[in-house]
Amino acid sequence: MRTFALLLLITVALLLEQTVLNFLRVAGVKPDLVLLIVIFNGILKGPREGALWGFVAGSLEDFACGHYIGLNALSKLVAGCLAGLVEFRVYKESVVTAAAVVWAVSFISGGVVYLLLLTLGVFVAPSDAFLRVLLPVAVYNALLSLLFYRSFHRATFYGFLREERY
Amino acid sequence: MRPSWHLLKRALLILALIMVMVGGIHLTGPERAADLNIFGAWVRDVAAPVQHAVWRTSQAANSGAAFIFSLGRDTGRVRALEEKIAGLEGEIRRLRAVANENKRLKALLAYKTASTEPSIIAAVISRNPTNWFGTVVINRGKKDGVTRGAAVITPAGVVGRVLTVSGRTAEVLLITDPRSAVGSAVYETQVPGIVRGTLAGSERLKMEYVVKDEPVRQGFLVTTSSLSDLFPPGIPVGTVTKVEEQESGMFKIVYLKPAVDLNRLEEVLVLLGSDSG
Repeated sequence: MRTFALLLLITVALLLEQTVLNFLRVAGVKPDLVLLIVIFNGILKGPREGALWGFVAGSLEDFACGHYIGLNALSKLVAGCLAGLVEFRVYKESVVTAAAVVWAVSFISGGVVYLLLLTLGVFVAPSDAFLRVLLPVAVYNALLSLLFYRSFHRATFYGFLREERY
Repeated sequence: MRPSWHLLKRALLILALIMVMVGGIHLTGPERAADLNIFGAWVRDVAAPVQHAVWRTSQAANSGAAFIFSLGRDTGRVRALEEKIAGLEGEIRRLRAVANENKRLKALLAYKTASTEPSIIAAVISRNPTNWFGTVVINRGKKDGVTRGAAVITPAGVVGRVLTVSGRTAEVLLITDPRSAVGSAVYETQVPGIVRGTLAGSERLKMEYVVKDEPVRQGFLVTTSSLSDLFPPGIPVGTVTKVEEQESGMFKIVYLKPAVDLNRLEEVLVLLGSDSG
């Protein structure tokens, strides 16, 4: 059930990223909802599951794009794993802590994409990458996490994302 | 302290996994195949109607919100008129470019008959989910005669070219994408150059290889040139916003604002006769 619900959540987030969120651009960027789910999941479930779901979510995104298969899978795997590393080190119930983690991990995950793009010969000026993508996306994601983290936390432990125990 | 064999094994495994993934990224680049892979094409074709419906709904909601927040000033009629003006401005620029070209050709006592290329109207149904790539998906594909490399325009100017096709959809690489390059020329002086995208979401293009000695000023129009294999000449690409003189070298860099508002694309025209195979 949890697996199915997370997959559905990621698919809906992906659909929104491709459509609705283009009308909600701020400073030229849209938030990365799929990354937000991956980071939330990492914070709450630890590095192993964080990395696994990062890989799954990123792969779905890659297949939706149709090419550069592995680009998002790898960056989101790193994001999920990094977010998971803070699991026992921070107070998970704090929305502000989650926002800070989201900001930092979004930034690093974007950096991984940027480096991979360089290896593909896709050159974006470092100043453009930093000021027009990495920083605004990290801030946008962090602000959204203030709105959605509590709901995700509740869903993970008491709602439709909780693990079944038989 | 020496690392244990177990840790070393794990590190090697992770390294191998990363290398396989990086290899996969390189092997599945859009430049490697003319068509989308079968799975990707199937996903896109199946998702297209849903994306189209959600896109249209969001557009309607966005228009409604714009109307409310502009206190009634931003109506559908105003939008339609704005689009019409942009189209007419593009047409004027194109006609000026054609007239200019005519003058030059007449001077050489050679006439060129402009061929009317077959084209098809397509609606934008989704955008690339990431902030790095500037691509849109349109609701026309191989079944409608769209092929890789086909030029995509609007009455206002150049939009981009078809990157990949599936049965019922096609992915269009916008001119703002960092992978895009269009052979162009400054309309006023006919100075050639290559217009490249800088970043997906930005409204800025960069024209490279513009010879230093040639005068290019803010406000000049840049159109596609006959050097471009994909686009017919004379289609507006953008307007010069800034000229950056390089201290050394033979060239200067010219920055442009795209002729088309690529963040508000709704319908586009695909030129069916301009594919590169």
